[in-house]
Amino acid sequence: MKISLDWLSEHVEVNSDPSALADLLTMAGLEVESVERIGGTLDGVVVGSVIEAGRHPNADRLSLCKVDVGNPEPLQIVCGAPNVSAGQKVAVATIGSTITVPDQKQPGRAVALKIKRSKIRGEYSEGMICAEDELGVGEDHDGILVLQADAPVGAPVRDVLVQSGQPVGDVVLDIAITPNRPDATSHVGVARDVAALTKAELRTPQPVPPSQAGSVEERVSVVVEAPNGCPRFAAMVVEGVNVVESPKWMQARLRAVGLRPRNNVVDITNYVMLELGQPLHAYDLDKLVGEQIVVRESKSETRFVTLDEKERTVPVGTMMVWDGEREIGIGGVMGGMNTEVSDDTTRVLVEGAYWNPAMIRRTSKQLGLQTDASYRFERGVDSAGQARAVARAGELIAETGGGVLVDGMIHVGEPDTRRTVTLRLSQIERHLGLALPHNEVSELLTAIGFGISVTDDPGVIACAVPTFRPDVEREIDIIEEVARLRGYASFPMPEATRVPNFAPEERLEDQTMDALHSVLVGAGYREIFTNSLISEDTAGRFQASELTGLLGKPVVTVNAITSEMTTLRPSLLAGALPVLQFNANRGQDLLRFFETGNVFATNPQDTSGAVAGYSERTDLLLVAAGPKRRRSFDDAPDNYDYYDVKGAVQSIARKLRIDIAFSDTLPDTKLFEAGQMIVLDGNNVGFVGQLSAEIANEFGVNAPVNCAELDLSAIIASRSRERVQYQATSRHPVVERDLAVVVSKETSAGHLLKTTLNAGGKLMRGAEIFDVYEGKGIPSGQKSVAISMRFGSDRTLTDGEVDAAVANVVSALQKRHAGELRA
Amino acid sequence: MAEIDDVVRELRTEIESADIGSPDAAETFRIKYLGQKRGLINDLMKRIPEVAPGQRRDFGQSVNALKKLAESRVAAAKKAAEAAPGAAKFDVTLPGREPLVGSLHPITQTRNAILRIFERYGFHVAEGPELEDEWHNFTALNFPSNHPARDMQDTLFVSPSDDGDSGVLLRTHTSPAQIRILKNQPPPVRVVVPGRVYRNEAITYKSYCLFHQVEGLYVDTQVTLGDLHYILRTFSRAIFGSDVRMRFRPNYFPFTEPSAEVDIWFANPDHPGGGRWLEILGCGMVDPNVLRAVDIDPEVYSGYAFGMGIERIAMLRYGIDDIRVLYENDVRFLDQF
Repeated sequence: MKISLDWLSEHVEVNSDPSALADLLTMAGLEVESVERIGGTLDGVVVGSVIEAGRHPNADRLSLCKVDVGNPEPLQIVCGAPNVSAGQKVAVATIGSTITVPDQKQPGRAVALKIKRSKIRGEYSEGMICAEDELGVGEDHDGILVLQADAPVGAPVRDVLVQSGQPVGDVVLDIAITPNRPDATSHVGVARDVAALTKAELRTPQPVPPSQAGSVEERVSVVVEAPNGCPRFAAMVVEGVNVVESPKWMQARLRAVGLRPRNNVVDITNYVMLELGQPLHAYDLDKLVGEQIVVRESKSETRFVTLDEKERTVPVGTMMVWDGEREIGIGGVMGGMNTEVSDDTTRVLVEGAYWNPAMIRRTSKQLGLQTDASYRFERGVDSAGQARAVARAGELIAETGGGVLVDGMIHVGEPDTRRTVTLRLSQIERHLGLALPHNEVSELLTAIGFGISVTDDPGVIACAVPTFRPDVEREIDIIEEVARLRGYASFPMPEATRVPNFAPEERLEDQTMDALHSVLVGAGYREIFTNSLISEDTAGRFQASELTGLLGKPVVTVNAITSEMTTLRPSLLAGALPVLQFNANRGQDLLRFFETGNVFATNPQDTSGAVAGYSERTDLLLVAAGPKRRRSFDDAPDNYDYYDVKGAVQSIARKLRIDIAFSDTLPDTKLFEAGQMIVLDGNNVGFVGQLSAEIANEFGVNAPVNCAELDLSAIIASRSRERVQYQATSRHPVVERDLAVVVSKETSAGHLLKTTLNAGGKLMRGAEIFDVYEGKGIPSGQKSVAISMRFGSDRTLTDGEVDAAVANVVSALQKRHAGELRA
Repeated sequence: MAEIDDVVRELRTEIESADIGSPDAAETFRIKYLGQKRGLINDLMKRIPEVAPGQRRDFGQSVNALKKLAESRVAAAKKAAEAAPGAAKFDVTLPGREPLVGSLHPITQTRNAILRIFERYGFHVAEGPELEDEWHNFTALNFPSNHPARDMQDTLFVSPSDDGDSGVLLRTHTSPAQIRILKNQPPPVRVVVPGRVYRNEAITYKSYCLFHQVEGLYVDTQVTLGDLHYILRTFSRAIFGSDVRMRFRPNYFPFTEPSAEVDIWFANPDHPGGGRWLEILGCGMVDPNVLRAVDIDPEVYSGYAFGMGIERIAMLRYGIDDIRVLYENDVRFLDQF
């Protein structure tokens, strides 16, 4: 909402400078987002009298003028305007002055121009004769501004303009109006707050509403068939209308707040809306087919052409204005082309109605059309302000010579009355922390239009809420008004704060996350954040329910802005691949990322979550490609491979103290070259896999891409709060034994290790595979797997015991895997 | 004979006293006395025929002793030279091998910084779902159906409903967690809720279709606007420094009354005295209708709530001027945190 300071000053005296005023309003709930000066100060622009206006010797379109500005010698000025002639009083920007001229490159913007003595086509020019737009007092650039004949030569043009009622320069405050302040969508509304905050007097226009009935009823009849949608409808008729330009001062104010002046009738309806907050609409009365207005709810879908020349489909249940034959306006939103006020209009009907806010909001949404009117109606205009606004418009039309008012006013509907809200003074202290005396509260509220009266209880006052504050319904609403007017910062902050006498236990979620972060950061993974919204195609392609265990279809939104962001990610992988691509395209090869985030699916069977029928859980994704380490002077590292990602998963499991296992294969999804499911307590909780080379290439990565995605929600749920139980390390030596076994190439090495661990008996403390070898010395189709085993106990072992355990392992390997000890 | 004994004696004195502090001098010394062809000690050995046969054995021993002495001096000089600074056994000037260390995203770091401050004040952490229903996201938070307040947050619907309660949407703020928590836990409640929220907005340098918030909620007896002002001032100091300029100004949110926003002053280093206020969070006293929606008596309990955008604060902390870089995940960006 743009507020002109010039306009505001008509309703309240403003003594502070604009930025101080902006602060004052901001700190009282009307946040001023910007303060913009428009127009120049016109310093150095003086009245000149054109003595001579001859042709420029070297240019047909330029005039060479002699202009008297009160100096001993007249100035020589080159002027390009066609309308300059001797005897005119004109505005002369003298040398050294700065004026604001429209920017030729950016229409609507202005640039500063400093006037210098210059030579134009060989003749000196000692100043500039200004057009309206160059003075910031209008948009006219067709010719120079001609001042009234009695303007004193040499006087500041600014004074001359101001005396003639033409504002020069203005300051515009742009206020962010919150939905609870419909009263502040007008200059009077903002002036009311200023008046209350500065203890100044509020000056509101007080038009005399004409008596109801009168001859206006002979011109037109108004019937409201849907009083729920339109509880009040006021109208006046003006005849003998001259549709012309509106007065300069009105145009200036409208322009200052961003409206384009059109003609006196339309400008006045806009002006009153911006002054009082009540939108008005003007109909060309002669274009009404039947001399009547009927307000009703549409019963069928209607095609209707609005004032902006667009044909719209108006849905059933819209408040429409009808003239007995056809629709002539969408109530509270926009009028129709068919009854538009045009240059040859002579009779005007001015409508000021109160429309049902919820219905206007619905209509505005359905039509995708928000207007200055609908914006105000859906927030709720002053429910008793219709007659006054219509009368004000009538007054302005008459005042500016726009036409003759027909006696009387039509007013349909019962006038609204103020509601009363009681306020317990004790509640002020309870909510704001400071007790306020009755008279202070009363003063604060009275200043913004509340009526305060005492009740039987001295601790309770009755507040009559003004009709322009539909938002104030409850005691707490009144307390908020008191708080904002007195200033939030005026309520004391406590000396000390109460804190609960218990410290909450750290959540498993947070403890898990911290553990993950330390493992992954240490292992060189960088955390990424990606968009949860992806395209439906990508979601379908990377859903991989078989792997993630997240069943059901992807969740699709119904009103997405772009097709690239319609669907909630069913896995994190889809979002991470573009990150690889982004970085690979920028020459990065060391790519190692992790992300934790929520994934979603539509699943009618799932009623366990917050919203039945949908699954939502947190996943962890690891994805890596490129070398293991940074290159160094003596080391060109291998690629970070499948076993590195798998190892990172193992590290996480170790850190979280969960016992995971890996399956032998991955269900075929065409997404992976190979991989394994990750199993926790017999359930799949994720997978680790090497992305298919085709997909990796598609995302611009030439190295193998390995990744793992885990259901973090399930992992956290499986964890318990048990603390680490310290196990004393054995003082007795551990005996190490290595063996190498030759098995068929197809044998899974992981199985050999499992067998070894199982067969090692009680003394087995651990075993690792330290070499896998094929080639020279090993029969073809076979491979050698070298295993290192550790044995120990709470005593020193004898060779015999260890030999027996190793023999057990060897025979198990032989029996289960046909493994022969390598000689 | 006596002559040759003198030569041995002189040579011994020379060898003992020679200055071989520098590597060059040591090498000259080695060549002069120990050189294979013209070394003085070898020369001496060649003169053995001059010595009487009976004394040749003694002579040989003396020359050997000389040789050992010279060798030990050379060895000592070499050792001394090696111990000297600048003469290393390997090239220490090669750069070290830095282990690859990962990083936490600036959003996570900022989130954690915010949570830590409130945890010190006894807030505990809770979370809520991102997929919500309209009742929790709007209705219970006192957003009337068909009210412009619902336009304050452009909503992404999964399935909208006509009654304004049962539609499914992506939460537009973390505030529905207030409802879920208060329904499950009687006051006093002191909780912070971090999480991802969604807005149906075009992606530009200043807005993204999703962002992260931290919601705070405190419900107890005797909670006032002053308490809210205090905790937020404390927070602002902790996160932006103790000399922060902050303002606490009225605003509107349907679920708080009175409502406020907090702005922080960011000075413009190029213009003395210049700068601007930037909003960092919205807050207010929990609206009585919200308490009623979760069966808490607003005549007994009051509370405050606040919600802040983590990206906003991260951008202000780190001087990031385009929200999109947070979601690009450029390694060169991530590496800076």
